[in-house]
Amino acid sequence: MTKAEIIEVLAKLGYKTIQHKKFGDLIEMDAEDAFVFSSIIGSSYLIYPYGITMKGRYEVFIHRALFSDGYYIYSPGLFGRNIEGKLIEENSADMLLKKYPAVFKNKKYIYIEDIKTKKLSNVENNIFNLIKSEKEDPSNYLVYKNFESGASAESLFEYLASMEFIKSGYITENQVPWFQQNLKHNGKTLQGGIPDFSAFHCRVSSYLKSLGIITENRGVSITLLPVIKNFRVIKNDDSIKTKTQYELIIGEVKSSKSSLAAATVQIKKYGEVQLANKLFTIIPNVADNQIDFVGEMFVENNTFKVKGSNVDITIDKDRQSHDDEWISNYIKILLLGNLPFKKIVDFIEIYRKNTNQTLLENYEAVHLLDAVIMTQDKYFFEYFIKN
Amino acid sequence: MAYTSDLRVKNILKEVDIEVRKILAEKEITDRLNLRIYDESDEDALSWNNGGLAFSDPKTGRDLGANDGAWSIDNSYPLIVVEGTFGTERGQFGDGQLNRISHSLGVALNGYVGVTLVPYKGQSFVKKGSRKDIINKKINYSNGLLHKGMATLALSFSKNNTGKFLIVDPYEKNLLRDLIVEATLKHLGRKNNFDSIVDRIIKNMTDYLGKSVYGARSKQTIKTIYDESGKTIPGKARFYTQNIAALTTSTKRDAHGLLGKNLIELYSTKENLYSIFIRLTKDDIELLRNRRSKEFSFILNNPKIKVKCIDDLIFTDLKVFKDVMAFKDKNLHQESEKALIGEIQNGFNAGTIRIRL
Repeated sequence: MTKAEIIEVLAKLGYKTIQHKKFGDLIEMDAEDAFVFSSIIGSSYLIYPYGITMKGRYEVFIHRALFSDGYYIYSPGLFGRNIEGKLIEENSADMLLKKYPAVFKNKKYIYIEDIKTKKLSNVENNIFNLIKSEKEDPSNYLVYKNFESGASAESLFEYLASMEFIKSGYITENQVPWFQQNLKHNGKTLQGGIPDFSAFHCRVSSYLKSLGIITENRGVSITLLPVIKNFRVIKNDDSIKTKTQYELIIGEVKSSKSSLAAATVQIKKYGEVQLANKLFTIIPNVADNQIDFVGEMFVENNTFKVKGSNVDITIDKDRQSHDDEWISNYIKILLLGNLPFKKIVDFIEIYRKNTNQTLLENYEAVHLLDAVIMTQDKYFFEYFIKN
Repeated sequence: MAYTSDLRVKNILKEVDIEVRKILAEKEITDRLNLRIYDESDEDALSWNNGGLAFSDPKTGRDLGANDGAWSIDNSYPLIVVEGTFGTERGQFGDGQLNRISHSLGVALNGYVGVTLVPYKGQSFVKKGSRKDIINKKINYSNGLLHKGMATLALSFSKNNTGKFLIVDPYEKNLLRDLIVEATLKHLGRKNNFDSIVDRIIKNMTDYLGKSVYGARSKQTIKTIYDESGKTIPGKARFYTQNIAALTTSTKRDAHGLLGKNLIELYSTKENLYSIFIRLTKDDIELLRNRRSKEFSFILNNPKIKVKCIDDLIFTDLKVFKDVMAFKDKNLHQESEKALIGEIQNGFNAGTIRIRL
């Protein structure tokens, strides 16, 4: 897509276009929207000359437990560890606010830079200096690199798909934990892979509703959950808690029609495990993927469109129930990113006292996982709201 | 979100960079040091002189792989080049770790400082077993330990050459920060502690290795090499059991580990290295030569590596010969082949399997 087309697509999401006398067209976002943009696309804030992205900071699980015999395959990311292997903060709300306060305040401007094929893309420093030369604050700017090669297109479409489903109250995720290694399923070996996009409801969505994090027409990107307190005041209102049924939508993104065949193979593979309720290809110039049970997301007249399939696909309810358990725990761990680290340690200790376990001087990630998974939602959210 | 560990590495490098700049600013050094870092791995793979982060073997010109970021002086002199991975925390317990061993080595071979950033003792969550102290039985990890071959190579190369191959734990990132600060001071002719920081990192690697000797327990290293006439010949040798499918199927990554092992042994000896492929024929070797993969380009073109295949071997024990030929196309994951591999090792060491030079 050209820079003008990207600006038009983003403007159609409701973002304001600003004509800057020196930098040309910019997209204006509030700090929260810019955070989501950066965390999905990878755009860097020009907080310092080389730019800082919010992408890749909140990993908790590498695979879905369902595809790992029920085991929780954890990875540091949101939380870190020290040299001794003890749990520490890494990308919590408090830590990011302390390290990069500019991310969480002021209006932000998306500066779109075209990157021609064979040109180097480390342009942040030059743009940083250009903004400074205009006596403006570079930390209010994010750079979106529009690669002529199409390299940046996939993450843009992951973002656009997220925005579309957020409008319908879903929780959305990009680079979705799935099975990265081969999976034996119904006598077949399915090659590993990671779906590009998902939108879902799960058991704890009802709690997110009572906290005002999601509503019927405003969902949330999962990347926002660990830091949401830096943008919003979280208040609990039990009266708007409604029971939510598990639902999973999976999408595979490709930057152009030439990759439709590859997208088809991948999305069919993800569908084969009968977990997702709906499947989509997300390809800008493919309005008809020729597969009756797979819907399409695409761009038409610079508008992002969603065309679902009317054909029902087979779903394994038992698998969905297992996945609901895992994904609800995943959401709970992400939310812990909002608590001061001391309160997370307190949470582990309350759990250990309640289960007659010894208190330790320091805890590891396994202790955190144990405490979250073994604590009922009701008690978890009571503790979360209180702290 | 499930990502490769590259993004986390790149985020860490920028955090280190911010701290480096604060320290240097206190010493009134505010320019000259540049960070070369990209979002896209395509650009990492460009050669250093073309703006990328990849280095080649100066002797053969063969590409040795890309790195994740580099600090340079005036965007030209590579001061500290870093390759990072959290493989030991993502299920890489063995030779898979050698996939990237050539990347920092490439930097060091050119006389610069290459750093591999990897947890020495990773917590890799796994789907077997359970920790007795954890109530939930679906939570467990095993320690993914840094491959001792990688530490052996880094240590032996750094001790004997101007260029350095250093391994730093990302959970000791202050060590990386100090290394960059001191390297900058040294390069600019200022008072510095560069050598003592390098010594500290080398001590970490030495302590980690302890008394272990790389390959001592391997069933595939050969202590004594015999030529066709039965004379012993100087050099190091190892035999490999990969078949042509393992080395040419894109989903398998055997060639990466194989290059790693060749590099470890190549740089821990001044003599020739014999790499013996007991399941490949001369035709297979030619096929690999023509495919021009990074790994085989290096192995087949390095003058110190002598590649031998089944057609280059002489068996004085007909039974062993028959056994080797029989298992040529078998699946080696089967337990029963371990005995044969031991038999082959004994055959090489006793001179009943000899090499045609």
